Parts: sequence; C-alpha cells; structure tokens
Amino acid sequence: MRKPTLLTLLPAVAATLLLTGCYSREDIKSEGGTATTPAEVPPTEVPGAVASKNTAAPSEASNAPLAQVNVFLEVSGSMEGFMPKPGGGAENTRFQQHVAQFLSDVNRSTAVQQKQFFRIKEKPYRDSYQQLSGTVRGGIQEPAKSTDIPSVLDTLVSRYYQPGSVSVLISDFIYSPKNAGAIPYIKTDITDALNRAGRSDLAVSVYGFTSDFKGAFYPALKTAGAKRASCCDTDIPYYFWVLGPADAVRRFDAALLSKQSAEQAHFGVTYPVPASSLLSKFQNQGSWYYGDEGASKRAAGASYHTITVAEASAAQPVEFVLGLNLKALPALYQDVAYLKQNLQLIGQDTDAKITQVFAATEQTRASSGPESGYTHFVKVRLTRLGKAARPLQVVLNDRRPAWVNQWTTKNDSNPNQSGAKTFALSSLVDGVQAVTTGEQDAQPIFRIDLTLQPAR
Amino acid sequence: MAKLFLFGIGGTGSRVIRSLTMLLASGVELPNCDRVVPIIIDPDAHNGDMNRTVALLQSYQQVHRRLGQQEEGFFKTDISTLSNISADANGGVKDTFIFDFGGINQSFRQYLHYDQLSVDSKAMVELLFTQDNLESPLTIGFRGSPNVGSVVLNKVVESPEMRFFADNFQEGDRVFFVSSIFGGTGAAGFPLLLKNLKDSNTRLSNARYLREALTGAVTVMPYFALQSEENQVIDSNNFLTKTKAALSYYEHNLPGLDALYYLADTPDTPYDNQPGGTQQKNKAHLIELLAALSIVDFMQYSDAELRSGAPHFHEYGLGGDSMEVQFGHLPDETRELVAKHLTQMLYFSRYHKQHLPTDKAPYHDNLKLDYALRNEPIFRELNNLLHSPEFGIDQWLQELSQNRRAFRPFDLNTDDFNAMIAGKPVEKKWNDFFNKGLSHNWLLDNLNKADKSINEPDNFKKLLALFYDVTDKAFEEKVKVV
Amino acid sequence: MKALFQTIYELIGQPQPPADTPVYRDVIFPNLGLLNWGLSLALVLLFYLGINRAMGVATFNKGRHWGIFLALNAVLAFVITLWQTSAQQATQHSYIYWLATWNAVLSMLWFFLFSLLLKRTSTNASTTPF
Repeated sequence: MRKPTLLTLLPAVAATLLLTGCYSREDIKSEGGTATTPAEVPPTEVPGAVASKNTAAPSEASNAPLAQVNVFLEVSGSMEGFMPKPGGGAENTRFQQHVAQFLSDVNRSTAVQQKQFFRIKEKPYRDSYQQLSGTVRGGIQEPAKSTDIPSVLDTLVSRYYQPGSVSVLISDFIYSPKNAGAIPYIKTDITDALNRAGRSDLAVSVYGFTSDFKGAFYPALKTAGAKRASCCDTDIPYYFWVLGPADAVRRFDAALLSKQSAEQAHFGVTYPVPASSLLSKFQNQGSWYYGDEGASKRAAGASYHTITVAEASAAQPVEFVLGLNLKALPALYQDVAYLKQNLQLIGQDTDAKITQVFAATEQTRASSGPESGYTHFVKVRLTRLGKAARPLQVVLNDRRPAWVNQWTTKNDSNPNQSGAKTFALSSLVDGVQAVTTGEQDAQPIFRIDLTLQPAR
Repeated sequence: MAKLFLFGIGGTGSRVIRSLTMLLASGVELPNCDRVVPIIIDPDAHNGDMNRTVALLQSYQQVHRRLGQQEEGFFKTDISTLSNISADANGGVKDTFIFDFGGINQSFRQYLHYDQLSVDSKAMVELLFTQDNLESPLTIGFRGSPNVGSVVLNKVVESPEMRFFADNFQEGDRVFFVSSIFGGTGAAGFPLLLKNLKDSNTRLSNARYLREALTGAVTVMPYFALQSEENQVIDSNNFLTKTKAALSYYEHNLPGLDALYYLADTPDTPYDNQPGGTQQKNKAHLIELLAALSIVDFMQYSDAELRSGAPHFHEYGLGGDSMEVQFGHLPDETRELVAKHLTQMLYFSRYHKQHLPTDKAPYHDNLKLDYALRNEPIFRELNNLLHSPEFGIDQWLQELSQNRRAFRPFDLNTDDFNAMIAGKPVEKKWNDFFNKGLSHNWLLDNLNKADKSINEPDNFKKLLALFYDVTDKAFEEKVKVV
Repeated sequence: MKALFQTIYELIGQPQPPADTPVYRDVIFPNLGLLNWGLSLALVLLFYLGINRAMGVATFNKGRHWGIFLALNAVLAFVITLWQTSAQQATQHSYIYWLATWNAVLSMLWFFLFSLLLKRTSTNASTTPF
C-alpha cells in the first residue's frame, strides 16, 4: 500500500523544502562574490569616496626591538642646577629622580637591543650606564663651559643616525645665540643643523618636563648678567628630544615614553591609522545604517565606514558615533581636549558636524557591543546630505600644542620672574618643524575616510 | 446493422421487456445485434404493466440517444421504435413501442359483426365462444381467452405496422417472441404471429428473409396465481389447463422456430386479480428477469449454432432452491452475466441518489452537476430512469426483492456500499486505517481520478462513463467475486 | 532576488530600528521570502498532491479545508518571522510583529497563487477553492 509511505514522506519533503530556502550569512558572502573584508572594497558607485585601510596595520618591525638607542645627557654648567652635588642637607632634584629612573628604564628595556650612553660636553663622550647614572645622581664632575645646541643636533643626526635607532638628548635647551642680532635666526640655525645630514625621514619628539633647580642659572640672554647664582625659586624646564627615523622614534616613544607625564610635541612622526568603526547601536539617533557590503554579517571585529541615511531632516536629524582606538598614539593625541580641538570633519553637501568627542568609560568598556573595543568616540550630527554618496573624512590635525608657546619666553634673565619657561623654545620648535614638515602642508595625524550616502 | 425484433405479447411480454431494458441499462451485452426493436402487442391500451414498460423504454431511448454509440457502458444497446428503424417515414406507423390496434373499443360481438352473420355462422360462433366472450369489450384484451385472441390477432398481420416491419426486415435480423402460455393475448398471439411471418404464401415483402430469419421465443408458464374471487373473468385455476392445451398445440404448430425457451415456477403468492387496465400492474418477478436473460442467451448463439439442429429447446434451473434468490443461488453462467452489471447499476443508482446532489468534488464541478441536475432535461430523465417510483430501476429491484420467489441479491435498505451485496460484504482490512472498502471517499477519489482520465466534452456522457468505470473498478477491486 | 524581497517587505515601511536595515535586507528578507515560498509550496503540495491525490483522501477538499491550510500557512509564516528575526539577532522592536503579520499576509498570497498553479494536478481538490 503506497499511501502510508507517502504520508510519512510528506513532512520530510516539506522540511527539505523549508530548509533549502534558508539563507545563511555564508551564502551572502559567496553571493556577493567580491565581498572580502569590507574596508578593502571601495564602493564602486562612489567616485572619490575611498575607504582607507583604517585598521592598524602593524609594521613587521614594530614587534622587533629597536637596534640601538643613544642617550645623551648634557653636562654643561647650566645643567648643574638640575644635578647638584649631594651635600649637607641638599636634597636631590626631581630631575635627578626622573632622569635616573629613565636611564634605568632604558638600560633595562627589551625594546632596544643596544643601549649607549653619552655625556655631552663640547662633543659626546661615551659613558657606561653606571657612569652616566652616577653623574645624574652625584652631580656633574667637570661641567663643560657650554654646549651649542645646533652643533649637538648636527652631531646627532650626522653621526648617530641609523635606521632602527634613536638618539635621546636630555637638556635644558637653553640656546644662547652669540648676540642679540642672532636671535631671529634661531629657527634657521636649528633647521640647518638638523638638515645638514639630509635625513628625509627624520622625526623628533619633544618631551617637556620641569624640575626644581638648585644652583647657578645661566640665562640665554645675558642682559642681567651671565649667571644667576643660587637659583631658583621656580621650576626650570628640561627636555627629552628623541631624534631618529620616523618609525624608530614612534616605536621608542611608545615603548619608553608613553607613560611620561610630560608635555609633548611630535614632529615628523607618522602613525598608522587607528582602528575605527561606525557604531550603529551606540548612542545613535535617526534613520541610518551601515552601508558597507556585508554589514549584515556583523562579523566580530568588523568595522564599518559607510553611513547610509534613510532620512535626515531638521526634524529628524541623524546622529552617529565613530569609535576610535587611539591606544597606539602618543598621549598627546589621546587627550580629549586635544581631540576636541583638532578633530575635523570634512564633508561635501552636508551639514555634518562633530558634536561630541569623548573617551571610553567604564560602561563602554564593559559593553558587549562593538563599542567596547574603542578608546574614543566621535559623535556626528547631520540634517542633510548629498543626493549620492559623498566622502566624509574625520581628520586629526597636527597642531602644535599650546604648551610650547606657554613655555617660551623672550627673556629668561630672571626665571623667578618669568617662571618655568625656556628662552625661544618656540623658535627651536619652529626649526624642528621646518625640517620635518618639508615644503608640503602639514600632514594630519590620521585621517579616517567615511562615506555618507542616501539610502537607495 | 443487424436488428432484433422483439415481440412482447400481452402483459407478460411487457414485463419481460421491462426486465430486459433494465439489464441493458445496467450494461449487459447483447451480442449479434446493434439494435433492439421492441413491439408490444397488447390490445389493452391501458394495461399498467405495458404503460410503465413503455415509459421506461422511452426514457431509456432518450438516454441512449444522448449517449450514442459506445464500446461498453450503461445503456449501451440501442432500443428503438419500429418507426425509427427507417428514415422512410411511413405515415401509417406511429412512433411508439406499442402495436396500434386502432382503438378497438367495441365488444367481440361487434368486432365479429355477429348480428350480420348468417344463422349458420352464428351457430358456429356460439359454439366456439361463450356469451361472456362475445359481450366483453376488447379494450381490456382477451382476458385469458386465447380463442378470442386468435381471431382478433389474425388482423394484426394485415396492419400497416406489420407491413412496415416486413418492408424494413433485412437479412441477418432476428426475431424473438415473448409470451405467456397461460394468458389470453400471449397464448393466442405467439403461434399466430409466428405462423404468419413464416408463411410461404404471405403477402408481406422480404418474405424470404422473414422465413429464413433466426427466430426464438420464450414462453412463460404459470408462475403466479390470482386471488380467487367470485365472478372474476380470469381464474388462475384454469392456468394449468390452458397451458396443457397450448403446449399440445405448440408441439406441432411452431414452424420455423430455431429456439424455444420454457420457464416455469410454482406459484406462491397470489396476485391481486385485475383482468386488465391500469390496475394490472404486477410486481417484477425473477421469472421475467430470467425470461429476459433467455433473449440475451438467444443472441449469444451465432447464426451457425442456431441453424444446426434447430429447433433448440431450453429450460432453466436455479443453482439452489431458495425462496430468496441471491447471486449465490444463480448458476455460474447467469451470475457472470448479470451480477457485475446489476451491482454496478445499483452502486450508480445509490450514489446518484445519496451523494451526487451534495458532492463537492472536482468531478462534480467539472461536470457542472449543480446546474445540470436541476436544469438539464436529460439529467432529469436519468433521474426518472433510476428513481421513478413508477418505472425506475430502484423500484424494479425493490419489486424483485419483494416478490415470491424473491430475487434479493442486494440489501436495498443500507446506505453502506460495503454491505449492499447481500451476504457478501466488501472485505475491509482491519489493520489498514485507510482502507475503508467502498467508502464514499473511495468512490469520490476514483470519480475524481476518472474525471481526469476520461476525455469527453459532453457532461452527461461523461457522467455515465465515470460511473461505469468507477463502479466497474469497485466491483473488480473491492467485491471481486459474488 | 534580494531587491525583489526588499521591495516586497518594505511595502510596510523601513526596517526598525534603522541600524538593523542591512541584516533585514541582506539576510532576513531573503530568508523570509524563500522560506515563505517553500512553506506555501510545501503546504500547497501537501494539500493538493499529498492529501488530495497520493493519499486518496477525497473528502478533505472543501473550501474550508483549503482555508485551514491557508490559516496554517499564515500562522507558520508569522512564527517563521519571529524565529528568523531572533535567529539573526535582530533588535526587539514592534516592527518585528508588523513584519510577521505582513509575512503572514504574503504567505497567504503565495498559497493562493500556488493553489491556482497546482490545483489542476490534484485529483480530489482540483476545483478547490473554486
């Protein structure tokens, strides 16, 4: 009898029919054909909107240790106040504690293979770590008369410049030109000094610290005397300058200086574009969604850079959040204040504006959503957009931090009066910037390419 | 185009023709002929048996006309009136199954012109006929008086019908007579007609064909009794006497007969004694069915078989003696001939009555039965043919089952198709949930299947084809044997 | 195909919340569309060819029986929508129920169309529903 067998077969047939109809996300992938990683496929119908490689592509060298670091400590007379000889009741300075610790850190560091230590008098003299550390703690034995900053810099970039190597110059960077007429040429002097060796990928990171100062202060401007003994009631700034090829400087910064609570400025250092993604379910508002190919797959760790707006108007504004992972950047660029000031949104045919920049909170870090993977968030609001896809860029501009000017004085003859400032610091920095920037416009720290498109 | 001219003489003739019509309706095959031409010879124009037989024949004829030629099926065999067999419209012949006696509403005395006869002749007449015979009106037949019938029926030969019959008689046509031996009209008419047809000096045309035509007859001997009442014209107590007399006459006076079938039964229940007229409407009886089967039997013989060693004489014996005859009591030959077809017809009729009007099924929709059953005349005709309380098939089966001896192969009171064949319920396998035997569902399913497979534009033809096929399948698959 | 299903399913409006639009358009709509076709086809086949032909059931062919399958189809389509949206982790939103209702309506439409196409192949329901 065929009836019962057919009866039992029917549900199976039905089930087969049902199941074969199912789409899975793999299906979509294969159906899409070209879809691989979303970021690599520029939407072809969007000319000009090129999604960049926003994911941090770690260079292969970044995990390997740097070849060499040369630490130069200036030991001229002007530095004595930072490193007073220990005597009756004289306490050591913050400089001593800080630099000794730094030298120790460098010496211990696995991020650098070979460490060399130098005292700088008229020229660098090779020291061992113990010797140099001893100098810092015990005070300068034979202070040099003076050191000429341009010639030191020249030496550093000419003789100690190696791929994978950096030079760290620890100094008060008080540059006293020969006479008053030379003051306007400070910048040029620095530029020339750094440029003499013609290092095209030269980068300089400047870290500014202050320390109590116990000894004679030699101001750059000798108008009120060449020396103020028993200075000072105020702190005196000192600096670490990290010089070397851009990549090496970035890695050294990250390895040994990222935790320094210092003011900082970076010149010529290039950073990989930080990881970023739009977040469609984090503080978003209005009718928009990911326009990226394969957005439906919602793969773990996937990032999205296309905003498709179904509807935007003044009554129904669209707000979206871009998550950024700035962990790999120097502290300066992770500073929300800096970001607020220097993040810029470049778009066409839209009124999109950054309305909010904020750092990750406990809540975002603990979230199960993709926002947990980002350190910073940029909220953008818009009420209108172009009729077709348009590029929208989030750019972090490289602007010289304000502290450089604040720490600059034109007259350092009386530190107690002028405060913790350095003579013509901004001019020195100008000189550095002129070398590292070249003729082109200043490059931004990073640029994240988004695409803004209306829904089809 | 061989024809069978079937002379049904008297009330018995009508009743046997009725049974034959039922058999043909149920699809029983009648070989060696394309067309049956029944001619009912009964001067009693108001005879109830005759009238309902005629109504049945007319109904059958309409249905068959609509169906046309078919290989097999219900209403396969063509039944037509005498006037219909020729396009040559002879004005003198009416389009009817009845022989037209031209309204002899006079007494036998008047018919003989007794009063104008010479004294000698009058004396002769008085010798041959009783006073009763002479005074009785001819309109109600000869009331069991062959002596009257033989005189009147002699006239038949000179009638326009008879001439028309002879004119259209062709080589290969056959003739069959149905009569009772104990009645009036039949007993007298059969030998008389036979003698006239086979007469070498006849004035009829096609005399040679008539003489050489294969001729059969069934003569029914007493199978019922009449209630004895005072002053009744017909007395069944005379039946045997009359039979004896007739048989002795037949012994030497049936020229040119090739086959003669004798049927008889012991009378049981007396019929209501109605000498004629509309009141003479007797219940169908097994004997009539068997007589009708003798016609089928006669037609089943080939020409050569009939001619060798003629005349052939046949009698009939049941397989078992029972007052309630079922299929099992019939001899094998008969059972094979009728059981399946009658069962098919019963299924059809029952389904037609029980389910057809209310079915909601594709075959029903495709045949547009909702409309057709109510509005198309042919469907109403079919309804009459099946269910008419006067002449319908249901009624016929009912009568057969109620008579003594009863022919009761079916349980006519059940609605369950599985139980319709008496003593032979359709086997249902207890372990097969879906096999409910001949359920309404099974029939519906097969009707729908057949509806898809049979390609016939005419909805009436298709309906009958459907039911023939499905009931055939029901019998073959579910009933198998009876 | 995707575009077709997107068009059909967005007749009732954009997916909500908007952020789930890609998953609706790329996964849920096509899944629902195909499942719906499969479901309706399966039920139509079951009704017309399974019950009303292969099984030889001749008394389950009335309009109301067809209606039972139609309703079953709609209910399953509704449930399938809930299942699909939860399987694809769509955000809970009243839109899901609107979508499920719409899917049920569509499933009835498919069931009807498949019925028209396939009823002829049936023995006992070739004239159902009309």
